[in-house]
Amino acid sequence: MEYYGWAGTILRVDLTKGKIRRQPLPKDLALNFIGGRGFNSKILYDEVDPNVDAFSPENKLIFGTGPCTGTLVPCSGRWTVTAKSPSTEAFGDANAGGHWGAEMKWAGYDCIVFEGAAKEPVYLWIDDDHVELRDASHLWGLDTWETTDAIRKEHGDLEIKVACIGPAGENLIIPACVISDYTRGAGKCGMGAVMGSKRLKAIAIRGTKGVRVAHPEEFVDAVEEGIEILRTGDQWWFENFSKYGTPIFVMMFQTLGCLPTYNWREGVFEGAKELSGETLLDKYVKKKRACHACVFHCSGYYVVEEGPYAGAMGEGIEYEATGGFGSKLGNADLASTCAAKTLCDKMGIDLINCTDTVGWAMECYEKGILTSKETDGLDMSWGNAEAILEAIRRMAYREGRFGELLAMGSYKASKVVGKGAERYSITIKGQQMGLVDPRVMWAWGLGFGTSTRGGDHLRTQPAGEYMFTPEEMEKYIGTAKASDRYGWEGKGMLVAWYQNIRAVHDSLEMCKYFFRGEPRLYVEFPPKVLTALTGFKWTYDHILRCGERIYNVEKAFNVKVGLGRKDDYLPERFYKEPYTKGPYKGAVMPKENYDKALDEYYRARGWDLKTSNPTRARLEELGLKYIADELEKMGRLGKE
Amino acid sequence: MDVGQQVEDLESLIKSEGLEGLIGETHRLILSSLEKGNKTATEVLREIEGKHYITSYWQVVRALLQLKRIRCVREVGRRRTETTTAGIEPIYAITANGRHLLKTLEKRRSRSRS
Repeated sequence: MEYYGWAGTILRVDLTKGKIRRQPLPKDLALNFIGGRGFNSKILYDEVDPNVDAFSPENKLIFGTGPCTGTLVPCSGRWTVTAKSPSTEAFGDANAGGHWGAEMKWAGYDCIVFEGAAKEPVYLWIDDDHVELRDASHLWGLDTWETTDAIRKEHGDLEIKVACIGPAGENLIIPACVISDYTRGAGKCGMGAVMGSKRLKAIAIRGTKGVRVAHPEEFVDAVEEGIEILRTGDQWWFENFSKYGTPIFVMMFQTLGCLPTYNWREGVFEGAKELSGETLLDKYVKKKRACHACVFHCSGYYVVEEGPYAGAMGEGIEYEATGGFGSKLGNADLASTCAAKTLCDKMGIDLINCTDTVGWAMECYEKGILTSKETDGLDMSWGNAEAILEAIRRMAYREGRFGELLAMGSYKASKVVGKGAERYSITIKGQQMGLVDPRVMWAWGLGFGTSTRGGDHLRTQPAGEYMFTPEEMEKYIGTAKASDRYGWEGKGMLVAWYQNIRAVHDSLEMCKYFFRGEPRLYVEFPPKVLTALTGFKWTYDHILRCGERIYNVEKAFNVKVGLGRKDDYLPERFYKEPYTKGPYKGAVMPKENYDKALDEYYRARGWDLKTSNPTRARLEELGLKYIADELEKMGRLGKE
Repeated sequence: MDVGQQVEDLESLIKSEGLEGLIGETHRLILSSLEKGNKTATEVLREIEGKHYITSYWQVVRALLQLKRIRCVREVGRRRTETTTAGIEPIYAITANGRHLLKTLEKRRSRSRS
C-alpha cells in the first residue's frame, strides 16, 4: 500500500544473524497506533516476552518516527526508542529531538526493529535503500562526539545524521542513553544500555526521499493555522520559551515552589537566580538553534569561555541540566552545570537519571550512609561541582567501587547499599523523576506515579494544571476543580486525559512544548493536520482513543511483569517530609488524598481500583480483545 | 481612537478570538481587581489566589492575555519583578470594554446565585 505521511516500511535488523529485511507497514497499525511511540509500544508488546532479561538478545530495540516527522509540521523533529527497560525491568522508551528522526523518515522508514545481538561491535549504515551492518570495532570506546565525527569522515559526508551510544552504553550502565546529533539524548529507561548489550554502537543515516503529503494546500493551511493559534493564543509561552528555552523553568518553578532542591527535600533554592534562564542567556548562550521544523528555537548553543570550566560547550542545555546539576545538588555554579551537561552528552548519560543518582549519593553522604570509603575518597558534599563532574566520569566507566555503584542508578544502588539508603532514592518503579516537585503540583505527582515508564514527567506533563484557566479546565477536562494545584479532585480525569493526548503527541513525534498552555491546539491541530497529511479522515475523538489504546498496551506489558497499584505511589518523602522553608513551607501531599486521586484516575481509565489492572470491557472497547484474553489467562484481568 | 474608551461588540470579539465559553469567573475576579487600580499579574494573583481554583501565576497571565485580546485590559507600563525569569512584568489597566464585561459577568454571577 502507498502511504502519505508514513514512509510505509518497517526495517528489521537481525543482529545475531546479520540479516536485514523490510516489512510493509500494516494499515491497521498506522490507523490505530499513529506512529513513533505507538508503533514501538505495539511491536514491543506483541513481540517481546515481558519477563526476558532487558540485556538478553530476546529483548528488541525499536526506533520509531511518526507521520509528521520530516514534514513542515511545527516541532516534528522527534523520535522514540523502545525496549524492555533495565532500570524499571518493565516497559521502557525514550524520546529525543534534533534532526536524526527526520533523516530516518527521509530514508524511507517508519520503524527500525533490532533483534538479537551482534557478536562484535557493529553500526547500521542507511543510505536511503542501501542498508548494511558495518564493523564498529574502531568506534568502540569513543565518546558520542568522536563517534559521530568518525562516521561522517568515513563516509565523507557531513550531512549524515548519527544516533549512537558512548562509553556509558558500552559499559551497560543503567543511566545510559542514546545520543543523536551530538547533544540530543533519548534519556529515559536505560535505552543506551540496551543498545550496548546488542553491541550496536550507532545508526548512521542519509535520507533524501522526503515525505509524501496527501493534500498539500490543506496541509500548509493547517500548519499555518496551528502556528497562529500558538502565537496568539499562547503568547506568553511562545515569546518566553523561544527566548529562554526550558531553563525558564528554574524561575517558574521557584515561583511555584516546586524546584527540586537538595535531592527533593525543598522546593525553592537560594541560588535559583544564578541558575536561571536569564543568567544562562546573559553569560553562556551564544546563539539559538532548533530541532527539525521547530517554531521556537528554544535550544541554546552554549560556550563557557573562562574559569575552571572553560571549554565546556554544546547545544540544547535544558532545565534538567541547570536545575538537575544545580538546585537538586545544592550547586549554584551555572558554568559547572554546563560542563556536566557536556560530559553527559559525550559519555551518553541521561541527565535526569544522572542528577538523581548523584543527588542520592550526596544525601547518603550527608547522612553518613556513604562515607569516603564507599566514594573512593570523593567528597560528595552538597554543591561540590568538581565532585559532581568526577562522579559522572566514574559512573560512565564504572571506575572503582563508587563508579560501579553509580552505574546502577540510584534505585538499584540503594538496594545494594541498604542501611536506609532506599529512602533517599527518589524513584518510582525504579525510574528517576523529572524536575517538578509534586508537593505543590498534584497532577504532576499523579502523573509521575501512574506513568507507564516509571517516575516520568513526560508521559503526562500536565502543564494545564498551572497554565489553563479554570474555564478552560471546565470546558476541555470537565471540571474546573482540576485547576487547584493543591487539590485532588479532578486530577484523575486530568491526568488520564493528558496521558492519552501525550501518547498522541509522542506518536505524531511532535514536541510537547508546542501544545503547552493552549488547549485549542491539543484538540484542533492533530486531526486537521493528520487528515491533510495522510489522506485519511481523522477526528479528535478517534485520535484520543488511539492515545488511550497506546497507553493500555503499555500498561498491559507492565501488568504482565507484575506491576500494579502498589507500584503507582510516590516516594514517601512527598507524603511525609514537608518543606522547611519558602513560601510553601509545610507543604506535603497527604497520602490519603493521593489515594483518592488514584481512585478517580483508575475510574477514568476503566481499570480495577484494587489492582489497577485494565478490565475486559475497556480493552475490548479499544480493540484490544487479544490483550484481555492474555491477561485473563494470567489471572491479571481487572474486575469490572 | 483609543479602543479602551469605546465599548465594542464583545460577543463578536470573543468569537473571533476563539474564546467562546472561556470567559468567566476568573476574568471577573481579575477585572474586579483592576477596577481598583492598575496592577501586574503578580499583584492580581496576590489578591485573588485561592478563589475559584486560581492557584498559579500563569493562570492569571493567561487570563490577562485573553482579556487583552478582547480589548478588556491594556498594558500601561512595565515593572521589575522577582516572579519570572524575564525580570519584568506588564502593568495592566481595565478599559471601557473591560468595565462592560465586568458588569455582564457580575450580572451572570448574581443570576446563577439566585
